[in-house]
Amino acid sequence: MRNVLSPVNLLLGLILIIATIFRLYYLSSVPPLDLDEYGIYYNAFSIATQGIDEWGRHFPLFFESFGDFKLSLDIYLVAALFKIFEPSAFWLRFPSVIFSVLYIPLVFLLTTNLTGKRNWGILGAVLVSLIPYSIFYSHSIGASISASLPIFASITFFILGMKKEKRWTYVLISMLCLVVAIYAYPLAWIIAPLLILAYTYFLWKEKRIRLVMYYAFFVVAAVPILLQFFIGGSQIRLSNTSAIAYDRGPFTETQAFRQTAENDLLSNILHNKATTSGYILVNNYLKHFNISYLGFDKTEPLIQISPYPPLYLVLLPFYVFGIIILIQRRKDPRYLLLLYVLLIAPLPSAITEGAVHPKRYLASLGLESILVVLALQEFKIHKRKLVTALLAIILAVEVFIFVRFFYGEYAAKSDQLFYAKARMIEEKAKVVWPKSQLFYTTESLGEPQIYPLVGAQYSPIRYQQTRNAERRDNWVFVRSFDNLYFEDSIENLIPEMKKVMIYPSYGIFSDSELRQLESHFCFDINGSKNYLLLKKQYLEVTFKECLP
Amino acid sequence: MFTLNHPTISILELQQLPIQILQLIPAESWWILRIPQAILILLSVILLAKYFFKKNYLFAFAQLFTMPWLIINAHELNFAVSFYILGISLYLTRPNLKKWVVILFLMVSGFLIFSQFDSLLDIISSRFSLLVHSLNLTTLFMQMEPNSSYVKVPRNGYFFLIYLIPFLSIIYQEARIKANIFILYIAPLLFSVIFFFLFPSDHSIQAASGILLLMSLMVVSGTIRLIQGSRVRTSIATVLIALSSIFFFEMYLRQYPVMYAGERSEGKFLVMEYVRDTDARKYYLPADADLKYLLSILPSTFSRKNIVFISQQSEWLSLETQCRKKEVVCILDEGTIKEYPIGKDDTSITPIRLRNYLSIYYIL
Repeated sequence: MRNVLSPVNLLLGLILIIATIFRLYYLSSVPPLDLDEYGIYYNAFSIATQGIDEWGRHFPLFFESFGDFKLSLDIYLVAALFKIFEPSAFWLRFPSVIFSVLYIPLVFLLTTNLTGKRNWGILGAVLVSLIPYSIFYSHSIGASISASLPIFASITFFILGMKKEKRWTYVLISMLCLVVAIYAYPLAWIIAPLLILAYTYFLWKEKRIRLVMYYAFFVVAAVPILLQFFIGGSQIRLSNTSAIAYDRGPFTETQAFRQTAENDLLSNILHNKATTSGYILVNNYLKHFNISYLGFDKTEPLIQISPYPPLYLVLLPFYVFGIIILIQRRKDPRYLLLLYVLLIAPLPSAITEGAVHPKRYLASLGLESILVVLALQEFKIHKRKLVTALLAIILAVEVFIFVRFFYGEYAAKSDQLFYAKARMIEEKAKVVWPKSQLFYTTESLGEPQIYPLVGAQYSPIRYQQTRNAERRDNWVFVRSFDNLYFEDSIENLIPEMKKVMIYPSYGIFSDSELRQLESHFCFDINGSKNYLLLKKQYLEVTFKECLP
Repeated sequence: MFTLNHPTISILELQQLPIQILQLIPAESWWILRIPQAILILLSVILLAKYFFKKNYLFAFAQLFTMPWLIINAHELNFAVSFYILGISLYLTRPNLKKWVVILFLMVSGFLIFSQFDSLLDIISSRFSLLVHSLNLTTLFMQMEPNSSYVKVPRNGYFFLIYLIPFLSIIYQEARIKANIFILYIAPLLFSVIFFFLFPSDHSIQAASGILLLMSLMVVSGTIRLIQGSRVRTSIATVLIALSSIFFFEMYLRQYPVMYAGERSEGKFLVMEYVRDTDARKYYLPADADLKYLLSILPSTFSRKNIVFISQQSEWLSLETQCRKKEVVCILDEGTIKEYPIGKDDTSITPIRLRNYLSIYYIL
């Protein structure tokens, strides 16, 4: 009891509580829900209420959703919460908060193990609780923190068990974590096998039969993933995001190089698909170690992408020194494994278009705090009180700037940039649909059916019965259902509206669409929202009978 | 030396010399102005290779001499850069000259500070951002020039990608900082950072030349340590450097001049050549400062020819009938032709085409 209530443990508990409360602040609205989150929401709701997904399958391992076959961990966790609590955006994102907070004890354990001092462990815990990516991705479900946490847990348990008698128990836990990860987000499909290779390297001289058994366990657990990828249709995710799709920019540029050189032998050798792919992949990979990415570059708000760099500036030099320390101590298997993780972590992001893609680079989360602590310990920073105080003050200022940005500028911008129309539809559906008709065009919506489904918490069984859907290029397009009417353009929607309109009906339209509707229908405008991305204003209207 | 006429000399390069000197040389031979700079850089490379890599002098010389950033700087007339590279090389290799190099550096810095900048703080903040982006791994080894396309050789960094290995290897081996190393290397590094901040250009390859020079020494040291005592490794390194050089030269000499023809104002040189080589009664040209400058350094044509520079769109419209006369040449730019009643697709209009097939000037 005395040990449990030691000052370090109490401090760790305090960090956990503060980090949790901090992450729960504006959880449901900053940033607004994105398309994938809406998809997870409705599938979790369907599982919690009827035990089926939105396509009517009972407790599936992969959720077809929009045709992207979402992995199941997040959805089942959310479904469990929806079973206990009233479904809402808060409970939808709650698992991500837990994943983010669980990094804190894991970093504490790992840092303590590496430095030999619990005080340094506490410092690691503080840092990981403040890192921008840790905070940002706690506010988003389905954006890979559910995969990165078990990966980090796997590494932590493997290292913790390295010099222990019950080593194989730790290895088993480590393997279990990897199994969980591969059902959470596809980044684990690359990282987990590579980690298993590393574990093999470290365990090769030990009990091989046990090792083979664990592998067999992992492989059996991974079989459904392999089947799903090669037969079940999940390849669409890779083809949609691949960095080396031959129809994209760099390959067009390669063609231009060959034309300039009139397709001579040298140009054919130097400019081809292999050299271009190699160039793209190496370039993408190196971007993850650019100093501008690590500490400087801020981006405009984008969906599921942190607009803030992964490190605070004051930590950046220590991060670099931390890498040097890993290299210097590489004869110790713990450091060698961490160095290996640092090098493989960018791979899922590097093979996708638009790298660096932070959510696909999340396997590195937690490492940065450990590297910084290693560097601080090497510099004996605890003996230099003035420098420590100065660093702490700068860090506090940087954290304050980030928090102000996240809950201020980013929150305001993302509210107007992301899914403004979608949220209007969701809100309206909550009140009037399906009792009354709801009309809108699919412009800027992605998947137009999902927002009213979530807003009205529409019965999954009734959705199966009334839905009219079609498949194109492995993707599923819902055309209409129940009292919901949408078309890709206002010109196509107007004849449909004339056919089915029963007053009063409701709609969400842009200002330009509304001008076209004026000559056909009478309506009152109830409210509006600006959508910065398309530089448009969306208006909520009630259609009524025209007076003679 | 044999490739100094590539890429075509730019207005930025010419503007560093007095018009009187330029007028002495025919336009086709302006590239010879790059020779002194190339010699200074060659001299620096020889000094550095001989001083630091005595036993491996030839290998180091070959490696330094094929560094993309040095080759490009040898092909871009800029006296500040070449003297700075020579200055740092002298500082590193001639201990008795150190004091004079430092004094000279301070004098030049002071001059640059007081002569170039209106608002020092604004400049420092933008230069800092450029410095950070210039030192990215991808800028150094994959794609040079984060901010400007003026000297942006496609798919090439300031160093060959293979040099990433010796670069990282030497950082690892030399992680321990010693006092004498600090004085020797950190001081020129600080100078180089100051030089970067003071150099009034967005072309990182020139502004960062001091930093890149020190990094080059690291790369060469790393390579020599990696290959030392092994013929196989030496052969592999030689083959890789040769392959990288072939790729770089293909991109620099053949692709880059076409891809970024517009960035080097090729269109303006073509207009200048057209005016020089034709014999019209009157020329109407867009009032562009660079064009005026180029024509001003062609005394034999400029003084004799009747050239009128037009700045207003309305003036061009009023000149439509004038331009249709045979003995009058009107050359319109992209912006003007868009608003012009005839339009650029008219058969009476001849576009001046750059090597990348784009046109920014049209002859009427």
